[in-house]
Amino acid sequence: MSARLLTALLRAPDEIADRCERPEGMRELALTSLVCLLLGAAVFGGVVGSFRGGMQIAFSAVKLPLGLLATLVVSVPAFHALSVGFGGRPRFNTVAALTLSAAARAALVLLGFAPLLWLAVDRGLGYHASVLLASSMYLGAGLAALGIILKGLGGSVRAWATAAACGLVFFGVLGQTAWMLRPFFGRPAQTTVPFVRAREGSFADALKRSSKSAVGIYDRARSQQGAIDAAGRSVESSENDL
Amino acid sequence: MKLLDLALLYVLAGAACAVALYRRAPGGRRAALINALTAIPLWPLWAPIAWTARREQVDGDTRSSDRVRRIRAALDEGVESVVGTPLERLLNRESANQILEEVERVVLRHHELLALLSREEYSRDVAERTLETLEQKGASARVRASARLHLENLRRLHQLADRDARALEELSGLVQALRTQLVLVRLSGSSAEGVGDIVSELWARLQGLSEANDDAEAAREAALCS
Repeated sequence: MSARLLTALLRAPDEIADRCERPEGMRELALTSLVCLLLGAAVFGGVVGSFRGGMQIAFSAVKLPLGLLATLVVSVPAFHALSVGFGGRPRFNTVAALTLSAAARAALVLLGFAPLLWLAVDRGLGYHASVLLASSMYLGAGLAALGIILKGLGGSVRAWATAAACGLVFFGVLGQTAWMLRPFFGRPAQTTVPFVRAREGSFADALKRSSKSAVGIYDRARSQQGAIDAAGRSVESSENDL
Repeated sequence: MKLLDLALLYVLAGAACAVALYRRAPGGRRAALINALTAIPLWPLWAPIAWTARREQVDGDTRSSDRVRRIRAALDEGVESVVGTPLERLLNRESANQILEEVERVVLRHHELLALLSREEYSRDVAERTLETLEQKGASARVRASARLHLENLRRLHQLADRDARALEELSGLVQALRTQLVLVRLSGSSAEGVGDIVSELWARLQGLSEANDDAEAAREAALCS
């Protein structure tokens, strides 16, 4: 791990993008990026988990870097295909190094944001507000990562189009990976803290459901079943009272 | 195909990449092991990088220029601080130029040595692995002896390069100390007792560096012949 590379990751995306083009020193760059990614994501994950506390801190500290790495591993071949498809001619190792460096930069930004989130949670910020705050921090980190990607792709209109397509792939895969690994925040009312929750559909299903709910369209079968279950529980508790 | 089957295939592919990278890695055993272990869970991302990465060449030009520049600046300041004073006999323009010429010569040789050692055929790790392979395959005694001699010469060259780098840094420090001592003596009027010792040590170090570089030439020629 090199202090010089760490500084370059944060302050010199041009230099990082140049280094990704050359095989000399690429392993050192990749290793430094990997360490930054693991450290930054783990610390941020730990802070996210501190909302619930207890084992959630450790679980989220493990799951956040795991989710990010799994996303990169799945997405990088797609990124290379998209880069070539949009008319660029980058080598696969260049795309891999660029992606890893960009993710490392994002993780370092998350590391910087972590104390702010911690302060907010410590000051009693609610669940939904905390989720929104963390999401906006992810967005900020993503924008920082974009800096390296655009420098690496050349900064032209084609580069923007390629970056946008890669971004769609990335967020799709990240969303599904995060869905499979949830919960990250956890609810304080939870008595037990599972490492991962049971699968309840996919990220796409959840997005679809949430989008419909946001415009007042509820799934009738589910809402009726939910009402029946709630009624059943209330009858049962009345009988018990009696 | 179930998720477990897919995971198993993934790990198997990772293990295969790890083995290939381990056998191929030009670095030491520890670096090769880190490379291989990283490849198992991350092979789609790591393998293309590790397979094609090369060691970064030392930028001898920049470091050497910086070093010479620092020494030149310190000598200039030292000379200017003693012009027209009795201390000028210890460090005048002529002796400063001689010191600088010697330093530049040493730095140039050191740079050449570094450039040589960054080449594949002068890699110590490659030579070690070649010797290991020859011994495992039971090659003839003469072949093994040549490989051992080559490796020994490379080790000497690397040791000389490290020693030179340290000596040049010490030399730079010494020149800076001389400069500071001269300025202090001029401004405070204190005794110049220590100045002569620093100048003598400076010349002794330069002499030592010259001799070390003669050794480096001999070792290089021996490595070329082996």
